Amino acid sequence: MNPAVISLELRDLRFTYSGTNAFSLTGVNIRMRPGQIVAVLGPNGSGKTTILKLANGRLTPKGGEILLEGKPLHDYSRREIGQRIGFVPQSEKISFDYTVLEYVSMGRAPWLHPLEQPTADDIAISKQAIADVGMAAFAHSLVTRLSGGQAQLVLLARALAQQTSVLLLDEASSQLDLANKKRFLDILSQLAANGKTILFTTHEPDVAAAIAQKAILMQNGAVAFAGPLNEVYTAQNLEQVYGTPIQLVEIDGRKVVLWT
Amino acid sequence: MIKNNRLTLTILLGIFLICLILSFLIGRYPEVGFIQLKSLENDPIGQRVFYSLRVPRVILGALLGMALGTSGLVFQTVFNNPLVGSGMLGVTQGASLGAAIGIVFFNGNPWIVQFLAIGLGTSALFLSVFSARRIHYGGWTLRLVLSGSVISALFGAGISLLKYQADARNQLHAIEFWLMGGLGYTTWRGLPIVIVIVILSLIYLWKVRWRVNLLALDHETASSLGIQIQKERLMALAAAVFAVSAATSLSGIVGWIGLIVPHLARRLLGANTSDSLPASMLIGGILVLVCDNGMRTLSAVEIPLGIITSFIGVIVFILLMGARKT
Repeated sequence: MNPAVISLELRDLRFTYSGTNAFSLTGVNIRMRPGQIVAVLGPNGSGKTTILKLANGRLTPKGGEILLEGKPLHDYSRREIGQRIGFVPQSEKISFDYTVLEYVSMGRAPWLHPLEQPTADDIAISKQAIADVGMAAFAHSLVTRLSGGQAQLVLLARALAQQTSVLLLDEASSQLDLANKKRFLDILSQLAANGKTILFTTHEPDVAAAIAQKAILMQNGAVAFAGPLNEVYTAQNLEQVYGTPIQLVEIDGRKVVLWT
Repeated sequence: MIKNNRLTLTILLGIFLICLILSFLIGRYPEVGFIQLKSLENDPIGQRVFYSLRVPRVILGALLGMALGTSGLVFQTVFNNPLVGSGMLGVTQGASLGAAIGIVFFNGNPWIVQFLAIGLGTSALFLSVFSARRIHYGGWTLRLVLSGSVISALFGAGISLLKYQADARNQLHAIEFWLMGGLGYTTWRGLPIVIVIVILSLIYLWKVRWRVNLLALDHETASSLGIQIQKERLMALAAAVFAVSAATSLSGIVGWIGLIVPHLARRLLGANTSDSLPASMLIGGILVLVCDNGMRTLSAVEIPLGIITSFIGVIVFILLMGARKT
């Protein structure tokens, strides 16, 4: 993997939701290389999720541009984007009793023609993705019966089955217990080590500190601080963004946030 | 699991084909029971009964059931809501109003009745979805059901108005027959175009049967999976509405099949629409054929099909809803 290559770049993005002046996003710049993990943090309503929606082409920026592997995002078809950028939502409501395997197989959609069924290969890839998130024992369980944390692992597995080079995660580890959170973060680190580009939002600074190399602190729709995690993560910066007193403690070289 | 499903589908196909063949043979001519095809050779009345009445009726019945079952599954999946059926989104009432307009103002011309039934059925669906987006109460499921019943009431009022206006000797009877729903008056008149529309729609839906799964997902995730979600939802809904409205334009309202058949199919084969869609098609066909055969054979006075399916549908629905989540 050539480190000089930029896999995903958000250049000077501007965005406002039509019909409202209540929120606007301005001057967002993010450059990501293959294998990099970038965390987006900030209070509720600061624009984290909007960035992800822009990055996967769901929303169209009002200004600036998004480059995927050096080409403008709007030059790709929806399906081509689906083959390159995976998305893991925080949760998803589904009313039907799909098995975990059936559900994860849906991740193969961008690789299948609209009239095609998943092949044996697609099923094998999906099974592997389920095993990768440690849910192999649940492959034939119903998704409607899973706990919130298990469901988040399944959503990650679906994005893994999608086999994209970029992965976007929207507070995707929010409901995991400690052991599963560690597993989740280990998986992300492993994916990055294999060259995947990962951009994720989180409400937990510790999660970001555990795996990200870069961090972006958002405040009121603008980037307040951005850069290597160690530089961005200071008690002062976090206090400014979150508006609450914060202490940073370093334990075994890892930064831990304490609020008082 | 997958192997079992293939077996179940094969069995369903077998039952469907047996029902289809028996439907052609069973009836009240020349007496209650099976007709002897050989005896038809020297029996011009028998030939007329068979070719002009029974054959088109069985064809329409099979198509109607398949269309209702399949569309029901598509509706439920697209709206990510197991409680919707074409009856609950205003489609049925819309198609009925279209048919009533055709009967009252266009002398029941089958082309116009079909055109209006499809057109107003589709409009009703979009009105329901449109107004559901504007209800600020409850979740999406409740909103759809609420707005569907409001739109149904609106079209229902239109139907009442037409009935009030209608000529009591011919038109009123035709409208009433339509609202009760039945295959008793089926002839070849208007049938060929219905066959074409229903079969084309069903072929399309059968081809995209796996893809239908994805239409249940959130807009956000579905499009991240490379799907042009709005376009594909629209195409699937259009195919479903066309199939139902076309068949219904000849048969009148046959309720509840579209609601309960997908539940039965999912119960038998699981949620994956690769399997539950063909199963809904077959079970729908079987159910309508069995009900209709029963109605036209068991009693000399024919009870309209729509009444029987409502009775059966309500009972099955209550049983299925009660059995959920156990």
